[in-house]
Amino acid sequence: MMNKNLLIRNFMALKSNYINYIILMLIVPMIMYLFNIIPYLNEASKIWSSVGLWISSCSICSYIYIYQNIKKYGLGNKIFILNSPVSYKSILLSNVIVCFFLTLIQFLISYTFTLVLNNVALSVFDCILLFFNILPITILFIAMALFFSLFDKLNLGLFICAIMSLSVMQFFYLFPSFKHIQYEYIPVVGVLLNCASIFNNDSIQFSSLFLMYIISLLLLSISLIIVPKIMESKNER
Amino acid sequence: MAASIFLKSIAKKISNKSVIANLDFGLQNGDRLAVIGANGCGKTPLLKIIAGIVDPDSGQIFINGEELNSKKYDLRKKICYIPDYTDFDDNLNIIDNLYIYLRLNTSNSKKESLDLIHHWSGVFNFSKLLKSKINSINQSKLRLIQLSKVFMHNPDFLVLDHPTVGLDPEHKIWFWSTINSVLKSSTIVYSSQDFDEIQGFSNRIVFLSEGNIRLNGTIKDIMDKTKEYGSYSIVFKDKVDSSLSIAMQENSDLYHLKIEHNKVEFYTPNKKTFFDLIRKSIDYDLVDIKTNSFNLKDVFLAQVKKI
Repeated sequence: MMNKNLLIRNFMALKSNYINYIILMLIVPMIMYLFNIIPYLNEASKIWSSVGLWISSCSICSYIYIYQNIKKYGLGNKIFILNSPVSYKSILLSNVIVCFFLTLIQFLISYTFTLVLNNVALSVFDCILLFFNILPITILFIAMALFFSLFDKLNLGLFICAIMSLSVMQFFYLFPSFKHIQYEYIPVVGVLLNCASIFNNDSIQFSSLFLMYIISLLLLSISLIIVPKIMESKNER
Repeated sequence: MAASIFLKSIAKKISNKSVIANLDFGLQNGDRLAVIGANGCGKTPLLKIIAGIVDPDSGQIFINGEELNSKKYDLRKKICYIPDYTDFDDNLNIIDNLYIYLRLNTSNSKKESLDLIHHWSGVFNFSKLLKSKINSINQSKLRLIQLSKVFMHNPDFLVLDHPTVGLDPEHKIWFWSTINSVLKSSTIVYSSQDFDEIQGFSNRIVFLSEGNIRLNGTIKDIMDKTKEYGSYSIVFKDKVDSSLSIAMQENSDLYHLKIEHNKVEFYTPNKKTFFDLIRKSIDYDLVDIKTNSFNLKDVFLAQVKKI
């Protein structure tokens, strides 16, 4: 199922474009911090700007990585990998795995930002817990990027994703009552509140995290079934 | 002897349009088959099906008796497919491109792959470009580098889509002679529009038209079948006489008749028709007569124009 040579190819591509990725991974958190801090002028700003920064920058970077790489197979020039004896699913999967690796790095960079700018210090265990809360949201964005990369020539999807990830954060601050709803029924809200709870050293709700993983992995699986079929039909010509 | 490639009732539709319609043919080990046909006649889909990249909607392909489909990755490693465009990954430099290609398409180890790259980059004279980015190399050089994959891969079956497009005549000849000396036993299927290349390096041709085979056989057989065919031109001193012009237009044995002032050009599958016409023309002032037996290009044009 998984071809290690495809992983090697993806890391080679990362290596040859490392400057672009370093810039991307530094610029995105800076912009996200700016957008997330604007509406927060009191104590709550520390929490939601940090949570916003962690989630938005990881989601947007993973979206950009998947979109840019899969676009080559769907919209851009055809490359030899498409004609090689490997399944299209394993091509996508190898990109998703490298994307998880990038998400981890992006998370560490975002955390460093909040550590410096908001003076947020978490234990190693909390950091790991935080990462596992952010991961399902990132998976959701990866699934979206897989679809958008085949159809969205203008990269409007990035704009939609940026607005989505930012507006969720803004809603939390602007509508505090949102935080008191039965969030176990809305897993994404539960995961966001989990991040805030980790920030405040409170306990987290594993049920919403579990549900969120199920939903995002389900969507990713659907993408990994449908997108290869679309790629196949495009490569027939 | 079993056919090394055998296609049985292959059919394929793309966007609800039939591009391959019930094709059957077989190739022996070591055959060099040229697939010819007009643009859009289904050459590329056929080559992709033979290479196992695309599955047919119906029918089967057998490689040395074993059924091929896109999921049979080990069998597909025996086949090298070169498309009609340069297919490098522009995120990687040349050596990384070739390395990943070999690792994905062959069972070579890391060391074997690198050794092959260094050897063939020397033969193809691009050793200095190994660390270069794809965008910094011109298209004809990239095409040559792409063709070097054929030798690095050293496959049992070679499927090439217009392999020498964009190469100068010297490199074309060099490429085919290298194939003949290095890959003697490989079975080769390729598409081309270069008739000198086809006559020089193939022993068989398949002529495709609208997804169907119109001609299939050895070049010698096909040329023997068309030896009566010819293309002719007659030049008169003055404008072609109207009665002669009408007589020619009414002659159903003349194809692609072109009458331009004092010059007449046509094809005919029958030499007698030409002699009859000469007898009629002798009453007028003739300046020149040119006759050409059909070569492969004429056969192709005749098929395209449905003579």
